[in-house]
Amino acid sequence: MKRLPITPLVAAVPLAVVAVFVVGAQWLAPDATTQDIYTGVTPPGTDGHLFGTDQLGRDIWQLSIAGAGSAVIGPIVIAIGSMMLGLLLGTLAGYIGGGLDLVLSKYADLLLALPTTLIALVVAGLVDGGYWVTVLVLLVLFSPTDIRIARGAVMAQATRPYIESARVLQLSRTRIMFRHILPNVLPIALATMLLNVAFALVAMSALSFLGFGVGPGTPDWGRQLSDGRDLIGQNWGAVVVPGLLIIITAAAINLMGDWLQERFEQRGAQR
Amino acid sequence: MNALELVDLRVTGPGGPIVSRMDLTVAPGETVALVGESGSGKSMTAKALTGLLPRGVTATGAMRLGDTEVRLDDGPSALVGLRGRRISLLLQNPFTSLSPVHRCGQQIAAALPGGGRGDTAEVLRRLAEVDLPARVARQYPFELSGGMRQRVALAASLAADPLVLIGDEPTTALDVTTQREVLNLLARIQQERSMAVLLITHDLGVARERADRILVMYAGRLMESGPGADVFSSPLHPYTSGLRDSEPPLAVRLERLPAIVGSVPRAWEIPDGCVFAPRCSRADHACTVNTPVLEGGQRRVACWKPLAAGEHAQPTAVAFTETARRDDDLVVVSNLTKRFGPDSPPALDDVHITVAAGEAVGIVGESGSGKTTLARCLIGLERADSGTITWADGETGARRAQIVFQDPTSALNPAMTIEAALAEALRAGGLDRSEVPALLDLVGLPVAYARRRPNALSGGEQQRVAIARALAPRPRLLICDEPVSSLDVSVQAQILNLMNELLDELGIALLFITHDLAVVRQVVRRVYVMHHGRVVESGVMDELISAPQHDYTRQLFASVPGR
Repeated sequence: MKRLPITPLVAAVPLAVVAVFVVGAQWLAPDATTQDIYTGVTPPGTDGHLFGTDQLGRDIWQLSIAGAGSAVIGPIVIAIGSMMLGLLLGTLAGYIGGGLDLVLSKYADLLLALPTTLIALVVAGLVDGGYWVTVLVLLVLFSPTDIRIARGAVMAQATRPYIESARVLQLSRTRIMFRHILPNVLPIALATMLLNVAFALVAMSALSFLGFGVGPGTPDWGRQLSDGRDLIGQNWGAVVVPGLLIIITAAAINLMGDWLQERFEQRGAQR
Repeated sequence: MNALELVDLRVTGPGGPIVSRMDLTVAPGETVALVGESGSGKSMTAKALTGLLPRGVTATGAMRLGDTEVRLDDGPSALVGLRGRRISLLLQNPFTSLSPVHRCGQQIAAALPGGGRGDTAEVLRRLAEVDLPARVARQYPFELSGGMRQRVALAASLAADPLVLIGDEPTTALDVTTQREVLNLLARIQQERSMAVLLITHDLGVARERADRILVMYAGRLMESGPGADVFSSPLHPYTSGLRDSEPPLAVRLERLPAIVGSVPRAWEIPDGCVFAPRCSRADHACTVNTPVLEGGQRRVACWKPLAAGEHAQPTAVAFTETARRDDDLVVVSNLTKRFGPDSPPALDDVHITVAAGEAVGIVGESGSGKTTLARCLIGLERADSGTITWADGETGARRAQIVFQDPTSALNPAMTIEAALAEALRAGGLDRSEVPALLDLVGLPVAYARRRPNALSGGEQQRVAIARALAPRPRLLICDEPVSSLDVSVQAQILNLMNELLDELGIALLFITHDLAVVRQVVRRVYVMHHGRVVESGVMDELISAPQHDYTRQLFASVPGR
């Protein structure tokens, strides 16, 4: 009898809810950006506004649903992009080795030495910000971890007999790297990617909070946090709702990533 | 009074029963061998008796150690205070069973009764007992050879003077010459202390040579038990007989080894009725319905249709007509030398060998002899420091030579289907993927296996795929580096038969590298014996066996257990 995996089930529930938010925002939150300055700030439980409204009279709950998209899509792009960059460069560094490995490893070390959020702030400030600029900068800054993980995993595979058999068959290096090694490294890279989504979510929210990232008026959890700070006395919901959403989503993704990583490691150990 | 008495041991894991209804006694001074292939449950038995079962695996049953009763149902806590003092365990790999960060002396001291702190004299006495010099106390395990490490592990497991020592494949990781020394040492200490030894092994030779009584285990059940001298010479159970016959003899070359069909069932595949019935040539319908129990007096057997005396004559040894080698050399290796570091001894030291076209040649040696390095140089995975490798004909690339490794599981890409792996190898030889079915047929696998991935295959089947892949580009030379060492005895015979068939059918040359003289005996006519990177002797196998010239060769033959 196989034990039911509790962790991924627990993590799947909030992730499913967030996914529904992202996809269904326009139906679930049609009035997210509707302003009503006569109403202004109202506390949670106000008629028709479960978590109250902000100073522009926008419904906090609807705003939070609408904000799920920018909170989640950017981090997913960052994580997938940095995984692909990491797999490509990590495989080259790990399998070809030599000077190329040295250059790529030093490049990764350099990026790792930089304070991520600070660099993102500077670049976003220099090129006049914007959501996708922030995404691109974070993508590059996230990639060194993926490069290192992929490189290590590739090096572990490269000495295995099945790779030596492929070499004896005189297969090309490209074929060995991408047809033989890559599929066996992919599970580890995917687990890392999930963890990166969580880190990127927090990083993106932090940048939005500081005023970088999404433009004014766009629904976004980080921005809601920053806007809601001043309202905390009048409507605690303006801070607590987006704050909790960030925490729960990041934690759920983290749990899922950890669980996957453990599973892959166990499978690796059995081989 | 018996030192160890075990009644109705059952071990259950997440996949189902691992050991069923096992009774066992070992008297003081007695050696009982528990023999079985992988998946027989023999190691789990050892773990259950020492309270070291992995999580998710539970044991039930009653055990008596001298005058102490232990209920195994109470879990591992029942053995606290007894483990080490009453019953101790010596494991296969001394490199992982010893702590790498503690000196050997500390590890023995920690196991002494009462923690033994600072009792240097006692530690030295214990080291002397296992024939180790005093300096070992200050050394770390990595500074010692495999045989010395296993002696330290033995001293540590004996430190608290147990009544019963369980040796779980204690010499399997060692070379034959070292194995003999460690087993002799163990026998001497056992006699001095009149200690009970439960020897768990897959090696029939070791069991035959060392055990007073032998228990044969298969798929979690005892099949047969009896005095060490009788079990393999006159087996009652068809499995015991099959296992015995599968083992290649050293004295003769058989045209075909009698192999047991199929492979050992995994935990979730264990059938109803007699567990061996699906592989048994004597089984009928009743065998698949009713489970036999171990019955009898001194000789006991769990079988509905046991063999009668005289039914188990040794297989007739067919003196094999061996074709003499052809004159045209396929590859000539001269003066090959290779060092892995400036300070390390040479892995290859001025090696000369030749392989003729279509000839099967063996290379025999223990670990560190350089035999694998030689293979890797030949195949191009390693570059020699000096010397030449001359290939006689114009064949290059994948069609010149291919290799089969020891561990078939890691030799196949887990992410690739069998078909994709074979198609790729065919393409490397300029051939078309339409030959995949023919290739599978050649190595005796059903064509339907093409769509499977390696983890859906048993070890023997995986090795067949690895052989098919190596043959796919139609190489002139096939190099096999310990191709059957990680396989069960019953499967090993199948693979050796397959290799002989392939050699006849394809007419390719074979370089067979192994530590096992009896195995190489069944495949090749001529061998090179390697020792410390040098070829110390070469010649026709028959002559080498009857009149070995070099001291080392003599020692090697003398160390083969149980013959």
